[in-house]
Amino acid sequence: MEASNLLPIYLIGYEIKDGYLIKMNDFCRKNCNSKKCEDHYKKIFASDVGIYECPHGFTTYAFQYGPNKEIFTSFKLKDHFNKKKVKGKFQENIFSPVLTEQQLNDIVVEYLRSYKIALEHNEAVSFIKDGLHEIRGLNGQVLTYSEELVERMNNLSNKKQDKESLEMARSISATSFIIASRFSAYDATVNPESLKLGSKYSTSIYGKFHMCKKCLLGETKRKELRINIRGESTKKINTYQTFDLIPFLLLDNAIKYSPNGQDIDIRFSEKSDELIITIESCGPFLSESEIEMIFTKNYRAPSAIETGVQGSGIGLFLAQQICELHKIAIKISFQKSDYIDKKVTYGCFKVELKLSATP
Amino acid sequence: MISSLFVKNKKQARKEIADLTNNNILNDFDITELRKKIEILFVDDENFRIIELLKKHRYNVTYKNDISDLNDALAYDIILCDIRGVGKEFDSPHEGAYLIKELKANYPRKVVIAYSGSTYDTTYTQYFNLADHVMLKDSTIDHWTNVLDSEIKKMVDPVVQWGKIRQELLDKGVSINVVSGLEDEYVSAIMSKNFDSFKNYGADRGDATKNVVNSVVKTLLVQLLVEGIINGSK
Repeated sequence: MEASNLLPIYLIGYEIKDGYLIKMNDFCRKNCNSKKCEDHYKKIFASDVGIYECPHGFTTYAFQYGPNKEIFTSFKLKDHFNKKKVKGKFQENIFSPVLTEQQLNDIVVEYLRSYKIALEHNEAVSFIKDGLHEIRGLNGQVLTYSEELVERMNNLSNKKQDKESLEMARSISATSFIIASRFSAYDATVNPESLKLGSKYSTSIYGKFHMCKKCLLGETKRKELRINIRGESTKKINTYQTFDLIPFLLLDNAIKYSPNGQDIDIRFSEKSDELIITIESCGPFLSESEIEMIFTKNYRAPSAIETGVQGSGIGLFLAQQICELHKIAIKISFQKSDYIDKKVTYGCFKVELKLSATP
Repeated sequence: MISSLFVKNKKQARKEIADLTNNNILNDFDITELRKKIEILFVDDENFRIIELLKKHRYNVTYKNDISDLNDALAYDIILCDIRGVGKEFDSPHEGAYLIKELKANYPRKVVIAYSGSTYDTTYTQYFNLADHVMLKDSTIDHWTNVLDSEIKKMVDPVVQWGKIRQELLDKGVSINVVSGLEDEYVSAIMSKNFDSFKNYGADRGDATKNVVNSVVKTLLVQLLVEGIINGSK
């Protein structure tokens, strides 16, 4: 992020950069690297802050921000620019009014404010970027250690096995998986190209749903929900790693919006050249027109907002993007019921995934 | 007339890679045996736990906290490289990502896998796209083994490997006729499980072709596998 300079600004080694409001005139564009102009700017860098007239009659204003000297130039300041010298050096289509000292002062204040915001923003982005990379690495460590622990405990004889500790180790593993999935969803939102990074590899779809169900067991128990997987499938397709997000996004969505104590049914129906997976759960009301909007980024249906459940309208958008990438048809339907909870009408929310051929 | 018929027949007799389509070279081979044969290098400034776990799964893994010279990677078939904190000697702000680019440019047949926690960062996308695969740092062990096994199988799959060899030879300016002759020798070597003729194919060519063909032949993993099968069957 850059500070917004409304006036042309002189940058050492970069010539003059246009202002967002007042552009540099062609004369300065052509001559700012001439010896005469360079000497003018060198002299200003070595002098005090203040208002100067450039060798060609324009105004230059130098001011201090922290350790740096900033220079606005190539503009006209009332009582400070040379009318005779600048005559004929401005094109008619360039907006360049004569500024008062008060206007210049306002522009400098605004520049300094945006400079401070840009600095803070860039520091924050850099911190987040470094932090995310490190946290994913650490999450990887947690995941690996917990998987190793589960494997070791599984290998113990029944007598020595502490079932409660094994369950805890599994929960750590599952939590780490959820953190990884959340990060991947963030990555895909910020950088859509990340959806198709790497090569494809053979994936068992049934296996992915099954693993996801296990990893979301904690939240499922907390809400006293039951995830039932019916039917089976041996189908394997070639997928990018981001395919793993599909079961996670769909089940996470179902768990999030389902009232306590409900069922979530996943059905696998496999024919010779087709696999249909349906996920049915109890969810807040959706009209036909809202269903049409459901895959739009950041869209949340009014009744979903009314439930008070936090969300950003990203989950189904991403699920649809990933399905499209893998040539999987995704369809949403809703059937209203009589169930009302906290003034929100609920019904059967159904997601259908259809895989016709190996992508 | 007779001589032209002879040339035509000789051309028709040339074996092509398609002749290996039904070859069952990989069918009876245990993946754990393959894991032992393929040299894997991890380049990461932090020695993270997955390396130990992969060793337990019988992968032949070597760890280095950085490499200062591309020759350091020469002995390895698969190179896993973090995109940050490594490749410091190469003096690029993109660190490991730049190293991946250099590894792919210099060793096009080696499998280079980028692993990272920064796939959100668009500045790295072009480098990720150069890698054969991108792994997230918090992937499950199932995912690691799935990806590594899939890459290992590709490394010893004669058809996949020929695709890479052919492209490398053509990129280095070897004539299509020489490439076609080498394809014939390659297919014959795999079918007969004898690489002698294939190895000598470049001997009577010009120096440039000989050098390119020799460098390709030297690093052929398919040969190791085929000879491994011969040894195993004895």
